[in-house]
Amino acid sequence: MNEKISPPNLEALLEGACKLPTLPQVVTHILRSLNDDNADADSLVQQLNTDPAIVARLLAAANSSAFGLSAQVATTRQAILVLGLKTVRTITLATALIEHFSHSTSAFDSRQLWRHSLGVATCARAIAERIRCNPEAAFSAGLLHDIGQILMVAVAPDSCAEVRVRMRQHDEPIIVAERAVFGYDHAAAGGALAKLWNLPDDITSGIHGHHTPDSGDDGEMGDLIHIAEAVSHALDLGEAERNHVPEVSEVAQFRLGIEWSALAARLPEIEARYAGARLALGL
Amino acid sequence: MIIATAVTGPQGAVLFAAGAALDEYSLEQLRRRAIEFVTVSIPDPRDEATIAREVAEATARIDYIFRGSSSSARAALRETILSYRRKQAE
Repeated sequence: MNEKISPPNLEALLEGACKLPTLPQVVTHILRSLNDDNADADSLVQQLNTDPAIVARLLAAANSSAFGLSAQVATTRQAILVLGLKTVRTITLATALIEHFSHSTSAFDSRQLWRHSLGVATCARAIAERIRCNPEAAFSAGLLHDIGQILMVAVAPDSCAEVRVRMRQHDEPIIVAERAVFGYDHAAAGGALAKLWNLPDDITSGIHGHHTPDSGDDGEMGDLIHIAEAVSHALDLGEAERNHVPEVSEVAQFRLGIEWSALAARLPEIEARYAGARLALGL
Repeated sequence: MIIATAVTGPQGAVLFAAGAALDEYSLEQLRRRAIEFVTVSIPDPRDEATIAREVAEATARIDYIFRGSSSSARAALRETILSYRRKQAE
C-alpha cells in the first residue's frame, strides 16, 4: 500500500531550507547595495570575480555584436564600462540565481520558472520607472518573487507534484492548489525564506505580497510585483503553454496609480527588454 | 531601414524622429546614448488572409490566457493587451 507523505508545515519547510544552496555572496552584495548611493564598482568587481560563470556571461554580453565594439572586452571592469552598472547587476543577479537554484523534477521545470521570473522582473522595472519607485529593487524583487516555489520543490517534491496534478486536472491557479495541498502558498513560503536570508525589507515584501496585495501589509513593492506579474502573464512572457493571467487587484492598481492605457505605450519596450535579457542569459 | 516611432532620450528629448533612416551613423548615436531598442518599419509581405488568420490566432490566445472570471481591472488589462496584439498582427 502506498503511504501518502504529509506536506511539511511552514515551520518545517523552513527547517528544510538547508537543502537549498546558500544565497550566493554576490547576490547578497548586490541586493544590499541597491539602496546605497555610495555603492562602488570596486567591491562589485571583487565579488564578481569569485564566480567564473558570471564573469563568462558578462564578457559574452559585452563582446556580443549588439554593443558593436571592435576591441575585445577581457576583464570584468571593462565589461562594467561597456554594459553599464545596471545591466551588469541584472545579468549577475539572474545568472547567479539560475545557476544556483535550478532544481527541476519531472513535474517542475526550474528554467520555465526563471523565464517567468525574468518576465515579472522586466515588467516590475518598467512599472517602477513610471511610478518613481527604485527600478533595480523592483527588478530584483521580480526575479526572486517565486523563490518559495523552489524551496517547496526542494523540500517537498511529492507534494509539489500533487499541486501540479491539481492545476492540470482542475485548471486551478497555483496558489489555490498549493493552499489545498500545503495549507499555505509559495508567496508565504518565499516571504519567510527571504526573512530567513535577511533580504532587504522591500524585496521581502514583494515576494510575500505578490498574491495578496489587498491586505496592504506588504506596501508598494507587494502591489508592484502583483501588477507586474499580471502584466507579464498578459504579455505571455515565459510562454508557458498553460499560461493563465491571475486575478488583478483593483486596490493595488489604484494605489500604484497605474493606468493600463498609459502602460500600453511601454509594452513594446518591455517585450524588447525581455527578449534581450533572455538572449544575454541564454534562458 | 526606417525608424517607425520617434526615439527619445532619458529626459524625453527626441533623438530621432519617426521616418529617419537607420544607418551606420544613427546606430552609432543610439549605442552612445545607450538606447536599448528602436521600432523599425519593414515591408509586410503578408496577404489579407494571412493577416486575418494571425489576428484570429492572437485573439484566441488572449481568450485562452484570460480564461475564467475577471475583476474590472483584469478585464481592462485584457482589452489593452488585445488591442496591442491586434495592432501587432495587423
